[in-house]
Amino acid sequence: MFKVISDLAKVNEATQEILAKLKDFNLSNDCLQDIRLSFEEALINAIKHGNKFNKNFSVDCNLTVQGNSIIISVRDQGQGYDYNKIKNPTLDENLERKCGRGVFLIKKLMDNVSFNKAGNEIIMQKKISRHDACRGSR
Amino acid sequence: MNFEIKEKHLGDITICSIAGEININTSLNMRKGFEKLACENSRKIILNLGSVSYIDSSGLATLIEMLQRVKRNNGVMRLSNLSEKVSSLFEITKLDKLFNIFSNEEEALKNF
Repeated sequence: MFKVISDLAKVNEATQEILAKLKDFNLSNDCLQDIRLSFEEALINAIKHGNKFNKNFSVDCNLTVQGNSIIISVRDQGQGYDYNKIKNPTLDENLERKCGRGVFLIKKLMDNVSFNKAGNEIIMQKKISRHDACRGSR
Repeated sequence: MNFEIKEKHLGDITICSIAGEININTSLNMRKGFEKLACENSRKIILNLGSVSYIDSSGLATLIEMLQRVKRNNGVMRLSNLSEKVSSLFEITKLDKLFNIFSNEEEALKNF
């Protein structure tokens, strides 16, 4: 587990830490990009909406491997959010909205996404397929 | 920062080739580059995204903002040369319905 200060300038550093942890898995670039995008979206949400840029608050990030899955969790110190309230950004009336795509993208790019009861933690699962490992090792 | 915009003009058409990542850290640079275009009153714009390796939701939001500004100015903005990965993000988010997307610059230039 590692902590990230609530500063958007720290996002890249945190991403590099996650990618370094994934180095030994020989994942395809496609798979790595899905994980990177999902992690960054979750971290940015945590810094912006969860911790509201309060640098006294940090974001807890964790990466574990369970069987054939990579599990990444991102938890802020905010009040929590009801993720059921997020509007579907793909509906015609929401297409031109400039926000509200982060969690939607995470749900599309990861295999399983859940939230804790308080609504201040997102848990993202990505299954590692043999195909991924082969493509990554080329 | 891994981001660059190069601009060229073909008659009244402005082609902006963007390279690098369009993310929360580079969106501001892109917006600034676009302010310049707005000042020049460009109404026909092609964004060549062929060298864009990564777009996040704030990058998508910046592109939407740019499109809205061009439309308000009675202009047209087209996207071209999207990589498979970037293209898939437009499909997933259904933004391919909002933007005019072409496979390459030549196609984007047709009937402009």
